[in-house]
Amino acid sequence: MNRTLIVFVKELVDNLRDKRTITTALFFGPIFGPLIFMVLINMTVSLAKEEFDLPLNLPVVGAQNAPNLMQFLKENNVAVQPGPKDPKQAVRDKELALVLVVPEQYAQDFRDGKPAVLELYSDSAEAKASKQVNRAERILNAYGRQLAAQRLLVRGVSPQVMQPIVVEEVDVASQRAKAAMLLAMIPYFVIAGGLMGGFYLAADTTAGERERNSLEPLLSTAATRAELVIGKLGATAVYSAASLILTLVAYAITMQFLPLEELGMRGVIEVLTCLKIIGLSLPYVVLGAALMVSIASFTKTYKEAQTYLTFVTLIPIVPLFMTMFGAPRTELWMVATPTLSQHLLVTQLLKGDSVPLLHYAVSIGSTLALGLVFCFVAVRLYSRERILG
Amino acid sequence: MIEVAALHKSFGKVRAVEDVSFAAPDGRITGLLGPNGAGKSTTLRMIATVLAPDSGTVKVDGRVAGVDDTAAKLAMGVLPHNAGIYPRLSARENVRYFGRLAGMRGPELEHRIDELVEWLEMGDFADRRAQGFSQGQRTKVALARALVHRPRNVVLDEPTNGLDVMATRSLRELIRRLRDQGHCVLFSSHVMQEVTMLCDEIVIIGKGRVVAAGTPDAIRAQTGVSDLEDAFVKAIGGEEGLVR
Repeated sequence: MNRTLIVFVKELVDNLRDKRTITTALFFGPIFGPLIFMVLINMTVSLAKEEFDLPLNLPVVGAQNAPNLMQFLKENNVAVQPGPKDPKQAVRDKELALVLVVPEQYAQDFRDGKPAVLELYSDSAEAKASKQVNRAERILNAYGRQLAAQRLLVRGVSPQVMQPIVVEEVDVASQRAKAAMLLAMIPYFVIAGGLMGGFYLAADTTAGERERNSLEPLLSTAATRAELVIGKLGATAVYSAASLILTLVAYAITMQFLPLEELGMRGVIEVLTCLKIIGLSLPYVVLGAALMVSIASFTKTYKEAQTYLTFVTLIPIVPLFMTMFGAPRTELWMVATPTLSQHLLVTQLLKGDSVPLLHYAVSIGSTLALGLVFCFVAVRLYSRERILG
Repeated sequence: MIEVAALHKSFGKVRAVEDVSFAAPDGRITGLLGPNGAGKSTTLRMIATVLAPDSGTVKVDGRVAGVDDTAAKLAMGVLPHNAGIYPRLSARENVRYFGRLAGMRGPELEHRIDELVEWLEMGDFADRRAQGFSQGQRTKVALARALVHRPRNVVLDEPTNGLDVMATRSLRELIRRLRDQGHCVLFSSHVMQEVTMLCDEIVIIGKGRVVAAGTPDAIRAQTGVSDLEDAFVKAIGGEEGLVR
């Protein structure tokens, strides 16, 4: 049997017995990722529902001072609730998100045609409350506009005088955009899941081997450095690939049980799409394994290797941030940049868009080329005498 | 037969080995004796081909290391200093891995492993995972691993390090048996007594150079001292680093 293959098989079997490797390969990507995704999707869906269907609960102090307003609020899907004794304190203590106070002066001012003051208590530091506050403000302003229009009409003036301009808000953070952001998480977890799968192998088969003092006997065998490194790298890549594929399959399964259609997302990843994604990601697994093994060869101990390799597993976050604020138009240089390339193309595939053949070729070609460079680097690093530590 | 000629090796400014030459013949136990830091391990590492000498040659059964590396490596079984084994593999699997890397397989390999298990008295733990093995058990596994491909030449770097009295005794017995089977055994130690008890040939290394070499009698004659320990102290020029 070829020596590279012997090393490869030994590392596969050896690490299969390592609980830590297996939990990382099977846990981080395949379970952790889809779990977060599930929680986020459910939150988004429930937020969207809250926004449109659920009544807004609004504690009101002094409701008796403005019966017409209360009527208007009810008509606009607001559930008026009795207010607390001390509205300011209640909001400050976070007992209530917002409180509307109708002062006793309100009715008098209203009748006199003076601006009648309404007080809306909220805590702007409370991010969760901001949606409710906005909604309450929108409704109250609408009431104000309605009253103004009525007063003008009474005086024979068209209410349009009051509206020299109309601002029509188009909320870009619509459900589609939100869906796209959530969708961008999938390529991240798939790619990062792949790297995590090989993480412990890269550390164990190199720095770990040295720390256990088993590297020197291994180097004394008839196996050449290239045979050893390629065997170890191959085993690392196989664990990465297994983790990546499991992660993808876990997503495909999870997505079937999520209310994705409500967010305007396609709820199903077809088998063919899965295969395309795997095809695009496998070269990345080779690159990741070669990079991790190269980096681990510099480190003296297992712990040190873990520290440095953690940085590698953070690389897939970069394109996530880049695309978070609006997806850029896919250009050829992006497709030729490993990591960014996988991120963009996998996202496209998940959206149901087609990826041109040229992009497949450039992505796979450039990633494999860089992967081979790092394989070469890894072999060179292992040929150094300092590898003995 | 291991022949070493004019080996030099520096690490940066530190000259670890300066001009070491000796021969370790077949059927003899050759002891590389010297205080800590004398260059024993560096010399053995160059013989094991994991380090390349700056100059000089290593020949194993006539094969020149660095030129005919694979053949030289296959002709040797190496037990490095503090050699580690794979904790998640059983003793047998550890040995099998190295057997395969040396090109053995199938029944031939399994038969050889059985032979070593019996010979090194590893029966109690041969099929257990190596996690939690005692130092003595680990050394036996590492030794079996080094011997699995029936190398003519056996290189042992401080093999008795960390072993208790019983384990040391049985290891000495093994080394003698290897010699009696016609192997060339080269081993290093900084323990005087061990070398005296075991070695047919002694090479004393001090500060990266061979300061005396030959049979114990020859060394006594060379240094003009009747006690071997005194001869050693005289040869290396001081008592520093010597373990009695």
